Amino acid sequence: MDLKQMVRHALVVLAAVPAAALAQSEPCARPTSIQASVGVSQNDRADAAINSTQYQGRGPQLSVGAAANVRRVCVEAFATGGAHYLRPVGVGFGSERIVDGRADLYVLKPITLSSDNRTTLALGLAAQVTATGTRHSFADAYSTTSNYRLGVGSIGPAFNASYRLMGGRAFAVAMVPLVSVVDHPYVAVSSLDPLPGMHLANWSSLRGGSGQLGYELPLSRYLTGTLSYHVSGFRYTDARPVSTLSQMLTFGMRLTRPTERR
Amino acid sequence: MRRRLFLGVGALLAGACADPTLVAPADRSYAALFDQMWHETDLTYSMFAVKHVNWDSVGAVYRPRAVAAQSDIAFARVLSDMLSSLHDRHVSLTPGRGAMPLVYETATDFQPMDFDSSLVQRTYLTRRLSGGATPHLSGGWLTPTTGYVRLSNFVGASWGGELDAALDSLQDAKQLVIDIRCNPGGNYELALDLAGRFVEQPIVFGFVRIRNGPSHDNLTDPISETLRPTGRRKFAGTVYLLIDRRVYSSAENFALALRQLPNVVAVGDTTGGSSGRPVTRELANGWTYELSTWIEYSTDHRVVEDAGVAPSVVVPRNVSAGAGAGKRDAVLDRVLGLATSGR
Repeated sequence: MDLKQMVRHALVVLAAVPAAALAQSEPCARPTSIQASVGVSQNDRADAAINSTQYQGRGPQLSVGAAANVRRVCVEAFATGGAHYLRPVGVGFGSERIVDGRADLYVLKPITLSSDNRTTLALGLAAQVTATGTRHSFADAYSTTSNYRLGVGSIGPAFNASYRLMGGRAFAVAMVPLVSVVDHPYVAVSSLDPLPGMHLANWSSLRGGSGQLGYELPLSRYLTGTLSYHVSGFRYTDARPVSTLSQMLTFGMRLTRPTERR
Repeated sequence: MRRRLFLGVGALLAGACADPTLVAPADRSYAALFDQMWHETDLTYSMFAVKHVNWDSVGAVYRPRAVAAQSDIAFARVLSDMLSSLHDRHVSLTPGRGAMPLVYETATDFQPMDFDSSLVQRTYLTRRLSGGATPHLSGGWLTPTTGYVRLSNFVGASWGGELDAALDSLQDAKQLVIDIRCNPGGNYELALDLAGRFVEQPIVFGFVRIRNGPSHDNLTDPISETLRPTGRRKFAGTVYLLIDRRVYSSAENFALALRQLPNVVAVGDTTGGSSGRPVTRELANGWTYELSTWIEYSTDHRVVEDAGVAPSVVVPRNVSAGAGAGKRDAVLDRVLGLATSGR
């Protein structure tokens, strides 16, 4: 499947949103706002470019986000990053230090599901970029280290649903990568490596997704508390397969623009 | 409704705390470990064509021996023998933390050394460096106009300042001898950082092609290796670079780079010809092994591996001399003769 076909495929998914529903669009579930969160994440990785072992680590995670309602289109951006120390799962050797970051951009069209706006649903597209730098320490006498990197940029269908509950709003967000570009160097990176080598991947070679479940509760006129669980992962199949799974539990605050408080 | 919500959140948190399984548990039988190493080497090693090795045949020969091994020691010997068929000094096996690496050795390794660094110190140096020997280099004056710097290895990082200090001490020298004989290499970036003290502007001194795919001929297009100016002092006089058969790896990069410079005369014997950049790989039992991942070429596109870096002034190796047996250093004598004659 070439790039043009894949983009067409993605657009078909977006077009599947009923035109009639789009015509009755409601405002977004989230008002124009900015958000900051802190939490703890668990990273699991198995990168055959390094070895055949799964590594896991937990650590603090910082996230920021923003939401805007632009001409009845919900635009949401989200970025998170952290540094973690990973150990082998089960019987394994060596250790890893990773620095990773992820940025998501959702462009969603709201659909009316209930007249009182108790339930909202928005469908659209999302773009996601993840980058991970790994320093792997081998279990040899010299504690040899090698550096590896992994970068993935994806685009795919996405949705955002919410339900008003106990004075707040429970929500779910998810995206599935349909077309991706991947930078996954074949061997450890060196000072002579050329620029990132980007490879095109489709659903048959890169499968995964990311999602978020959470609850938002207004704390004051402009401030909303959020508690959310994020999960993101994929398996990229090439000569050196790589699988990742990142889970994150965060608590944060959302600051709403005064004119858009609902 | 609230109960459902709390149940949902509870299930979510329980799921989040569980350990997901991304890869199947590793099989640690000798057969599986052999297959893992053979396959990884097949995917990673860069010089099958250069070494004229049919890796499939090698695997067919050694697999039955590996499966039949009666102990870890015997198994390690089989794996090491298989890797030795690559005839590459950058390929080695370390069978467990703390174990001695099993490396490929050539006939040169068993010949007596014809270089004795203490002979230079005792017999040739008329004056030591003003600051004395540093942790990584030593040197002094051979004649009132000829300085000498000994670089015995390129291990570590960021000690270029020691060479700056040595060059400061030798700033009145008209000729400089850089002695890297028996230098086994070390850190590629450090070697180029040190060599950068001798250039005024960037020069390309070689090319590498890095393994980048599963087929043996999957290699990048040639990538330039560039020597860039470094350090606070440049030596503009004649530099005599002393090399021999025991110069390997990043020390060969150092020689390859300096040999490009018009004021550098390489003297001695051809270097060992070990040029692949090694990466470490790991077996499921924790043993590690190293594999070369690139092919290096000189500026005239000749493979450096096995061929080495040739000197411009050849001083044949004295194979009868053992360590410390000779009272004179033939290479250094030749250099002093060249320096006196102004060549």
